[in-house]
Amino acid sequence: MNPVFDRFVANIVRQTDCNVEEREELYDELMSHLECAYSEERENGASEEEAVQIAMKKFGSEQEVGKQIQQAMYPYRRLMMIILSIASLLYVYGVYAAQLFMEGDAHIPWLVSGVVISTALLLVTLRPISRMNRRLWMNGLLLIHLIVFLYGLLIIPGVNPPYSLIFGIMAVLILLLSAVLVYRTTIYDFPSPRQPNQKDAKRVHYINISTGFLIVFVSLFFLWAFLLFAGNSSSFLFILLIPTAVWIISYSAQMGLLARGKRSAAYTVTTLQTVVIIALACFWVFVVV
Amino acid sequence: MKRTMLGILVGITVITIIFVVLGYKYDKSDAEKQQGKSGVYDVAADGTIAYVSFANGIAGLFISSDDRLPVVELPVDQTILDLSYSKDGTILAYVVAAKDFEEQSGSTVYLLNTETREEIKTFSTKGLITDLAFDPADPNRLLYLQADSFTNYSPIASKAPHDYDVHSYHFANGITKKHTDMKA
Repeated sequence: MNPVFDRFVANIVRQTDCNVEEREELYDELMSHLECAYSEERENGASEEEAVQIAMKKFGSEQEVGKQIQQAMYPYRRLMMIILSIASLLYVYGVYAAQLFMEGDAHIPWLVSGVVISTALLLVTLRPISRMNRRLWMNGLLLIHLIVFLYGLLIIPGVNPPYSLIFGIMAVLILLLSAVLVYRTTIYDFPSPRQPNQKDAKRVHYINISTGFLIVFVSLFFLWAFLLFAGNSSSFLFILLIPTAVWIISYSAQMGLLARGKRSAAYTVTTLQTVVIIALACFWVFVVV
Repeated sequence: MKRTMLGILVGITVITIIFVVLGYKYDKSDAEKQQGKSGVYDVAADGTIAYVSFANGIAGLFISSDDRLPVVELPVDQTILDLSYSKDGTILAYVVAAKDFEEQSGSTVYLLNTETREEIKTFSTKGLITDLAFDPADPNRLLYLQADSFTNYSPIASKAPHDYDVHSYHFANGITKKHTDMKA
């Protein structure tokens, strides 16, 4: 194997969000194209060195080819991730500065959490790590990002208008983009290879991710209201974690059943979960409120 | 690429450190944020205004005829909830309670002679007195609104005064009397 080709192809492959197996496949494919071009040039009478240079020149620049492959495999994913991380950094610095200079409140732990999570997203985007479980890590980062920025949304009312409105719109857009990326990561970009029927898996993921967002949002809202108004800890805080825990168990069960080919059982759990949530929502709206 | 990444990382770290340092420098305590006039005031018959104003969280009672210095200054953890002039304007009654009011922490009513600036602690109660007024028919009687409970209605509601009733205090004999029983 030509070491110049090896470096060239490795640099192209490194720019994609592929995992280790996908990178190996991509590497082999690109290498075979390069070697074909090299053999062709050698047959046409070029020296070894000339053939290497011409083959790479015909292929295009490493940066450009890497970018095009990434775009073809995961359209606009990198752009969305870069926008999300940069907008999040600007938002964190903006809200922190506004709170500090207008209200005299330094939300240092929130600033540090927001910066760390936004920077982690930016670094993972600019330099994907092929060895890590992309779905788990990416969704983990995106979920932490969502929680940190939901808290950010709750501290905006302390800022004077019109800045509160500007930051509010920014926060909603950032949260929406983060949520869209969770759907993309789970359903389209990195689907689980365990699932025999991707169509069913996609459907169940859609329902569960949407349910999860709803449950986490409602739980966080009550947690915020409780801490803001009641201000002391009690067993009530643990009650707020129950819906999220039940949702995690139910989601895992559904995906496990689907992976074992028990389609009807998985859909039964999905339906049951949805019916319970609708019943609780109706109870809240018509009886409690 | 490595250099770009390092540059981004260093840039973000430097900006964050600057913000953290600024945070420690400009963060204000609740007391520091409490500045200027509050909504507690009353106007005497001759037009003199008595009002409460805060300086670094310290509540001061000012009188408009000479408002360079406070007539009364309270510790930083206490506040004046209400004040009221007597009909002739010679007596100013005001009620003091803890800022961080808790059930049973109580409130105290003082009387200030506006001419001599002499103040007298009149009486204390376990409830929260939120409003004061001199009885128009009897200048020796002070009417006040007192909340006997200061709790939250539900786990996600803030603590608030409730179970309000009208009471009175007679200066001559020191007797307090409850005039209403809204809970009954």
